[in-house]
Amino acid sequence: MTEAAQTRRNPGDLPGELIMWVLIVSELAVFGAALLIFLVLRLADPQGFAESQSQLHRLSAGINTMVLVSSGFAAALAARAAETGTAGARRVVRRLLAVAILLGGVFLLLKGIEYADAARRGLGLEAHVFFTFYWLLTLFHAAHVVAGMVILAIVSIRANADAVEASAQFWHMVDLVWVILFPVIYLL
Amino acid sequence: MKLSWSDPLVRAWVALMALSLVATAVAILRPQSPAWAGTAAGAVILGFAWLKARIILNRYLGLAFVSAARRAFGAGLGAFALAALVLYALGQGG
Repeated sequence: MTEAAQTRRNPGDLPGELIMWVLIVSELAVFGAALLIFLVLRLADPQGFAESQSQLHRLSAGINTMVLVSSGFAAALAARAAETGTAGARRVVRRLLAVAILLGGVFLLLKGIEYADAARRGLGLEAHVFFTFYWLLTLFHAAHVVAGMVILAIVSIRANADAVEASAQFWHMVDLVWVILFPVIYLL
Repeated sequence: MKLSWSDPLVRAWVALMALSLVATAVAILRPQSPAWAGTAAGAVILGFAWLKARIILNRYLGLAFVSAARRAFGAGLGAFALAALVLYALGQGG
């Protein structure tokens, strides 16, 4: 969102689609509540949670965080380019959305490697309550990544400014959820 | 399309990358004892998560221009980070 675009709106208006903001708040509430429940359950067995967490790939998850925020950067640039409405803008928007989708694919690839390794070592849903939450929350998030990639791909066909902005909002929501999920599951 | 350091989106992306890198490094390098050191590391990690969320909301999602919503999201996410830190510290025993 550029300053010029915001000045075209009424002061205090939320940028983009209101329904996307409802979705963002809902997703943050759902993931936030689940993560707090996770931390409450940790109180009963901090050692077990620490041992379980030590079996995750922190560095890989850290790299994935940088991949996802970079993908969000590309989506934000695409939304800004779409606002200009210039003749060459559509091609730039498509390229930026392609970059965002590609980086989403890299995120899923690294997650897939992580999941395969955890499954190979027998760290399934029932290995420990830590892994129950790990699988459910990260898979739910990964499903959002897949949905976001599909939405970005569909929107890139016409590259209409409003649609690009709404799809970028969805993509930033995926980013936002990950930046609160990542520290609690992988780092604390 | 030209990008420069004066572009708020570029600065937001660089900040997000740096915060992610440092938070991961803190988690990997933190000492196992005493308990307060783990809690301090947790505070840094959650503080950085709060900052990253604010950057995404303000710059990627454009809330920098909508002060009431920016404050509401900042307070809500701050409350979450504080609750998470308290629960984490209780689990650390310090």
